[in-house]
Amino acid sequence: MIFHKAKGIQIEGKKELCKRHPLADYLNPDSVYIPLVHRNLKLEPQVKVGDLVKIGQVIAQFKTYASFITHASISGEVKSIKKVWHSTGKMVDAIEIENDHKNTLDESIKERKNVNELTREELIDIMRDAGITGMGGAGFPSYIKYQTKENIDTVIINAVECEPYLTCDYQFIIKFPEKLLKGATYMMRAAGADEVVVAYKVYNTKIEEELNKLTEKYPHVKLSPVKDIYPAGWEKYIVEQVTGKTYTSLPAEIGVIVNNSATAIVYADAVEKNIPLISRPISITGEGINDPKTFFAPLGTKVSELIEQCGGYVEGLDPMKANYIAGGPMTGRAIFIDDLVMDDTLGAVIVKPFITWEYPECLGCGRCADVCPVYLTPTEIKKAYERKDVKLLDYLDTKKCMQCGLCSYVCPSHVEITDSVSKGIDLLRKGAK
Amino acid sequence: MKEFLNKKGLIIVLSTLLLIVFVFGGMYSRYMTNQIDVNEQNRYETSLLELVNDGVTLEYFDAEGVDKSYHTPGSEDEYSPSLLDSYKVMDDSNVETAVIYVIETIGISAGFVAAYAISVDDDQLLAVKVISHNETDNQDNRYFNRLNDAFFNQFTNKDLDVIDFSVDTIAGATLSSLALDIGMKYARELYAADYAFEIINVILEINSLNYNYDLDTINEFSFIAEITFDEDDKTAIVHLDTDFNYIDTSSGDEVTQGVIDALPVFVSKTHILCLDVTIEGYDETTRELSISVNGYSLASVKMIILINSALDAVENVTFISSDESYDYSHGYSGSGVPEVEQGYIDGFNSQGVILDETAGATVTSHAMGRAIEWIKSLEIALNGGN
Amino acid sequence: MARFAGGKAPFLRISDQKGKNTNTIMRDFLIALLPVVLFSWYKNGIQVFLDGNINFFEMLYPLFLIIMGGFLSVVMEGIFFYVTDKKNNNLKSISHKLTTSYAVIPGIILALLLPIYTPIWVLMVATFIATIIGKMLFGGFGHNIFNPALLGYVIVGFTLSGFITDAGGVFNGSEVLIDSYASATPLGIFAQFSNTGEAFSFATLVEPYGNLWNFFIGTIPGGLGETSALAILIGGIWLVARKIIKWYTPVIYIGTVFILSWIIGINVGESGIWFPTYSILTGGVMFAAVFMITEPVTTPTNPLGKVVFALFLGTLTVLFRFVGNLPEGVATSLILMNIFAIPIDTYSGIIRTRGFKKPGLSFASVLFVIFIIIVAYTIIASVNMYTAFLPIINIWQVI
Repeated sequence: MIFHKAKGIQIEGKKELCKRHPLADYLNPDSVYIPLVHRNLKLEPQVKVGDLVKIGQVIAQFKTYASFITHASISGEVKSIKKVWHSTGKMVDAIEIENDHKNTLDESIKERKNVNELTREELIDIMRDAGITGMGGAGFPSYIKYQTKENIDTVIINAVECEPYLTCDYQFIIKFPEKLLKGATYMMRAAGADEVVVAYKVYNTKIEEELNKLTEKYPHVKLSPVKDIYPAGWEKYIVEQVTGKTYTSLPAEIGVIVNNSATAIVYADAVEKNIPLISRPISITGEGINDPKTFFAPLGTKVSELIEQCGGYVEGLDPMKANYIAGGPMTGRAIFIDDLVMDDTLGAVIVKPFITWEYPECLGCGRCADVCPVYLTPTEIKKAYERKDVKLLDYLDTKKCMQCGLCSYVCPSHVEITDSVSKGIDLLRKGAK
Repeated sequence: MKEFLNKKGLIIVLSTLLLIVFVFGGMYSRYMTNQIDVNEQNRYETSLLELVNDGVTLEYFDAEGVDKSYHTPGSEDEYSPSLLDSYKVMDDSNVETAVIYVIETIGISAGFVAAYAISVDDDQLLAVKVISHNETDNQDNRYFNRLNDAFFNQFTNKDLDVIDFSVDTIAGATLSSLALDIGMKYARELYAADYAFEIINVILEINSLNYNYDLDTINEFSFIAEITFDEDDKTAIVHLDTDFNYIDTSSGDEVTQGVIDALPVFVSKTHILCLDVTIEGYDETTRELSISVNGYSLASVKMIILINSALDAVENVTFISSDESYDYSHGYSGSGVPEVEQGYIDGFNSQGVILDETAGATVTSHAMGRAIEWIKSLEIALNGGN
Repeated sequence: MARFAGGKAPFLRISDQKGKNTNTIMRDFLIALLPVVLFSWYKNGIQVFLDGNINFFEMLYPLFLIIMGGFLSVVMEGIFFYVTDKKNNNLKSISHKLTTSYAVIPGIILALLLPIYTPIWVLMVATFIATIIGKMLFGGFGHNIFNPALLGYVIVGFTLSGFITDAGGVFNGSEVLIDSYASATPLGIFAQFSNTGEAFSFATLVEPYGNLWNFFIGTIPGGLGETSALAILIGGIWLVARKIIKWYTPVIYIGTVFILSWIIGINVGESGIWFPTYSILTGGVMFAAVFMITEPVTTPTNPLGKVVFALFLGTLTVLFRFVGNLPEGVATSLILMNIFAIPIDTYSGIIRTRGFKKPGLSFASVLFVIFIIIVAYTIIASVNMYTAFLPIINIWQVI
């Protein structure tokens, strides 16, 4: 129906900024800071100051209702535990490791021989022990998805990367196409599925080329291009595009598991060489960066070092008139001080100058409602939030919002409507409790 | 400048702007002609021009104005008609040919507005046109619509310099007719004031009026009237013919020509004497006096009175002819004409009495009754001569 | 280590790009009004001047009136900002406020609604009601409940219309010369029929003004901007092409008026297609459809709400016009519906999200039932136009 048709919108990609250079390795920073926080959970450090750690050694973990392990990403000495800026926008404790530049590997990192004989449970254990998380930005431990009791028949590898500016997934895939397919295969086996689909944006023909070269070896892998719109990388959207089915809360309901492409590549290493999640690609981009590049860097690397590698900020950049964004420009977070460390969910840091103008009031044009991919009415939610009307917030199905940011993006009056909706969700959660 | 604007200047500037718009914009609004009014005025003026055949343009002028009161139709009160507009009508060579007065009078109700066009060259009322009126009684213009063409034709080319300057009213629309009649008279007064036109004004009073029963002079004059005239109350006894025209003066002051001209009109309007009987002629040799009497139509019943040889009494009356018919109203059951007339004559001849009126032939009966009365008066006059 | 500015996601905004923000929307709105303004100037000024019925300065008056409408509302808002905010009453902050207040649009729309011979002081009163009472006292742009221009028009129409008539009324200098116009606008004639209870026909309603083509072009008597469906359509197409308005809002509104008028016409014995066409081409239905019911502030925001709003409004317009004996039913029904825009917005927001499941179903059924009742009442009542309210009075008496 005409009044019920939200399909997302095309957003100017700006990905060419970061595509000028291929994926650059930056594997030997002088020191790294491993945050002792994952999502909003505190991790227990497993090492003391002064300890010598090797690459892949478990240095912190969390074991209450789920298990999550963090490994050392470089070898060297634990110098201190101190506060650093984290991509959540807060200062958190982090283990500082000074690099001894010896790249000593932990004993556990070795070629796995019986790769093809691993059972489903073993594969899931590997995933858990390697600390593999969703690298698209959610950071959700991946193995939990695979422990589902539902009958999974399809695993979808999400290589869509619908956020503008970001190219880390793309460049990671171009560099390791075979690893992607291997990782996808292991994921399929871990899920007990018999099909794996790689979803990518229709204009990324290079991914298609690279993967097509290898499809003979991996006949169970299907390629599925999706439209160039935002939020095409949204789990629900991909599932609907690929399988034609919709679900209410988790894709496992309809027998689907969705994983990020970078996760798949890392998982391939974890299965074959038992290398845990210790490094990831990160795009340092935006109009404020002199020479944007995508790096493959160990977790805990200071972003400022990477920015220096990019030639620093452009000349004449006024930091007070620029945003330093951790994550994608649509869903990321503004960091006040450029003292950020990488973690496993940080796919990009964008430095972008912005302009301000006389923002008018909301004029009620309804564009936010038009674009909302879940058919919410953001203006009504905003009003209900301002009145603290929990009942109405519930009626308006506020919790369906996945904070894609499109409503604020299209708003011609620059209303912070996504923000209001997220606050509405918080209020609804509090009110529901 | 900027300093000024940042202090109290801004509000002054804004308010001044508002004021400027109010004043000059208001002037602009005022400047805009009200097209509806203009158009209505145009239509109005065009309709006025239609009253005058060779009229080309209208020119407004201020009339002198006359203060004159008339009876409000249907009541004893008096009122002054009001002049609404006055225009000069120019012909194609821009010479004034006529004048139009728009006058408001009172008919059934107030607000009877009509235009009266008067030719300047001929001193004639050219035509009238009713512009607006309230002569309605909720349904339609029931009364006003009775004013037919024949009524309005009375106003066309009507000379102003006549003594009896009035029109016949229409039965059933008397008040509306009077509204126009009064308006017309008022227009004449206005015209007289503006154009030095003299309204004929005769001071004349008929004190008495009598038939001339003197058989010696009955052929010379039919009436003897005693009049008072002129401002200094001159009196005279004058003789008049059957049409009330002046014949001669028998005694008193000398009668002026104006009075002579005015006599027929004045006499015909008096109600001193019943004037139904007309003396047709007297033959001395046969002693036969012919008279006629008004029945349904003028002079409709003719008869001859035979005077006796001593000339002091009526010998008998003979019926000559009659135009009457009795079927005007129902109820008459006798024979045809001239049964009623003959009955009255026979009644007089045999017993000298006047019969009662005959049902169904009332008008004729009345006429005959008056004729017999006249004859009796004649007889008395003749006897008195002896 | 540099300190950066904060901000909230998303960091990309369409509105930051040039020509894609509210200023552009309002500019496009003004551009859409341009054909209407030009046509009304042509019809009421230039054409009459060419006919020789008015002089040159009188020719400029329609344009002057429209420009003054915009100018006056800007000045009045400036004064309002000055008076209400004593701390920031310098030139800079007031001009900043004015740029995001878009005062000029209600002023111009208001002037377009008024007849050509509106005196300036009446326009000033109307602008005052529109901008100060209708807009600023509600909290300024974005907070007003009533369409400001419409509020000004309706109040002036109910109170000061005598002054407009005295000054010359709706007829321009050429139209007064046409005898058949009979000192009434097309819907004025319709109202006369409603009052007397006579049957109306093509000959009495349309033929005095030529044919329906004249109604479409706009060479009929009426307010400055409301007569020409053609000029309004051009503006509307521009707005749709610029994605300022949704095409379906006007279409549904006009369609509702059309279909209901048709049904009513058939019921009273006028089955011709001319009657509904006449119905949508008169009384500002077109103008309201393109410029009023798409006005974002005072109408529902979400697409479903816009549809519901247009349906209700179309029905109410027909109701007021044929049953309620208000020939210009558009303005009154729109003012009424402005109030209900808020609940409709909320209800339709819930229905849109929830679908026809609980709790959306209950809201949907409420709206549906009300709509059906109004439509049914409109159709039934208009068959017997003049005793429509009798049953209601009877019910009151019984209760």
